Amino acid sequence: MADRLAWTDGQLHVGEVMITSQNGVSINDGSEKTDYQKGLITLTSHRILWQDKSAQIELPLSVVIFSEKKDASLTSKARLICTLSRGQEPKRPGPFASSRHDEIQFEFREGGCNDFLRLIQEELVKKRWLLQPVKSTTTTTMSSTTSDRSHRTGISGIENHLQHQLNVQHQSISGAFQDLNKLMQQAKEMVNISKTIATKIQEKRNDLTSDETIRFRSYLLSLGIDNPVTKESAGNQYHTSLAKELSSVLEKALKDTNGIMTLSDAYCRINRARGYELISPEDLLNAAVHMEELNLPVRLRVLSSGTKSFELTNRNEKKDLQEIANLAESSISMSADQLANLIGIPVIVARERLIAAETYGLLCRDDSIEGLRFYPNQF
Amino acid sequence: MRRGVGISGINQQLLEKAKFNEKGSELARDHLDKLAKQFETFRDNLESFAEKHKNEIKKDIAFRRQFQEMCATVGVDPLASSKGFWSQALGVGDFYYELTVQIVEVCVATSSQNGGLISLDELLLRVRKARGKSRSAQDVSHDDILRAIKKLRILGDGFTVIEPANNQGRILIQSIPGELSMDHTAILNSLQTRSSFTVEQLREQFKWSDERIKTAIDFMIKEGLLWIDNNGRNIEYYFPGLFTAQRVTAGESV
Repeated sequence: MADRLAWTDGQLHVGEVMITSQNGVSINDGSEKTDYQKGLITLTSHRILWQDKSAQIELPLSVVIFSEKKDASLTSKARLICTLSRGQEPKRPGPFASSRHDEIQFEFREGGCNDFLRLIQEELVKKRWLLQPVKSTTTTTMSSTTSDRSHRTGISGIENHLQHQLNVQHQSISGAFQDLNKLMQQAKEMVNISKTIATKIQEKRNDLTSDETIRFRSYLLSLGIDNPVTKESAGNQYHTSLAKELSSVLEKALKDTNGIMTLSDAYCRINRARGYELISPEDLLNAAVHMEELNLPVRLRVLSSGTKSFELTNRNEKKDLQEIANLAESSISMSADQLANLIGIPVIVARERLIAAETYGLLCRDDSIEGLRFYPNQF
Repeated sequence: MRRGVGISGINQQLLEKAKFNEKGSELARDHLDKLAKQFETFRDNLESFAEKHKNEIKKDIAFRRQFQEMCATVGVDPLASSKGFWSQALGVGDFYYELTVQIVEVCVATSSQNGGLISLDELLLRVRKARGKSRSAQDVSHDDILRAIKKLRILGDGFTVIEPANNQGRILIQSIPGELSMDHTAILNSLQTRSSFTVEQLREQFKWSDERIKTAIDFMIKEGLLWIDNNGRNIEYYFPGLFTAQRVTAGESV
């Protein structure tokens, strides 16, 4: 049914959402090869789009009655088979004037067939193009597909099932999207007002009291509006109390990791320990910057390479580096991997420790293709 | 001529400033009151939305993505803070933050083998495996992973996304800091269906000098990203991270 394919400019229509895409896909008319080989196929909520250097083609999902997968064989890779309806509306200009087959096959030469099949089946159930009809000639195809269904005896059983599923889901899906739209409109208004307020604050035309400013900041935080005003979250209650909480959790953990830990490591441990009501990476960072001023036993440290880590406040830097130099000496030389394995710290941190020891004059480096190694400084 | 433009330019600026002042003559406090009212209404609406559709966000990949995209268009970040509305009411936070933890764990587990370079496909496969067999645990998409990684970058521990040229091809995730230059990424991106290369291939494809090729290769070997296969005939270099990526694309399990 390749005559159902039509030329397109590839632009997404209003309300259309892109779902996924996959490279290396060829179009077959039925099982016959066509000139359209190895292009990029894209699934949207309304259509299948295909493009390569020479052409851009579309297939409205509304004409796809059914889709399934044909497994890879000796002669071909996995294929996605789409059974199409015979339309009665005027044919739109496309790559094929006519076709003998009822189906189109997409051969996935570079994989991705399984995922694509799953997603297209989801879209065929949701039928989102009915919610938001796209401004093009596809509106006419919708009415013709319903009358066509009676002609297809073999497929109609499956269609009825899909239709039934659709009726159940349609209510909730369309309702969900409508509700989401309304919500977003409101959010947008609030974002605009916030921008106005923020501009006034920045221009120092600010007549807000400090209480009001705090209130404003908390609105921004709740809504997730990124704003320079929120960056200085000094005195934000949530983050200061979080800082205290994290500090006590990390203090225990740091004893096991030699007194120093990367932020991702800390983040994982903290969230794993919590189990629910997990914190965001921003929360961690915002809490961390307050630790030192709150005189907590754990603090944030920015390493020379820019990587950040947590460490115990009472760590003695010099003593620590001397120990590392001693370890290097006892094994003649030391690489970051070795040190990491030896004392159980991450490789990045180990590397930084060795470099820090070098800066202190305790170690010398030997940089070769076999890696960076450090030797005790004999000079 | 220039003086004319200069003066009219200043006039223009004064005019715009006057207009701006006029529009913004309302007190910031008035705006804040308006915001406060809308905030309360919004909170109620969000809570009823959550009651009806909370599960959809957790289970439906396309809906979740649509949600994220709309938030981005509107200018809100639902994942900014676990104390944020979105996170509290809809539980999007927990979904993504847990995903973030799983991503870090997978990367740490595989980095000794692939030097901290893993394809998005392989990462997705392994994360799904880590999440368990239930249907809802499997409902994680490429988009979800990329958004979670975007959040992870804030921690500054070296998570980077390496996009393919022209947005066509494999997406790679680097989880160990190590600055890959444009030459390095060019080599990586040229290997869409392979995981190894020879010096001759690079020379032919990029027309680089031997010196330049050697510098690029040496760096990546040092960083643990590239392994040497000296099989007697000629020396082949391959990326363990891409080797497993190939297997994943071919549908093998990891």
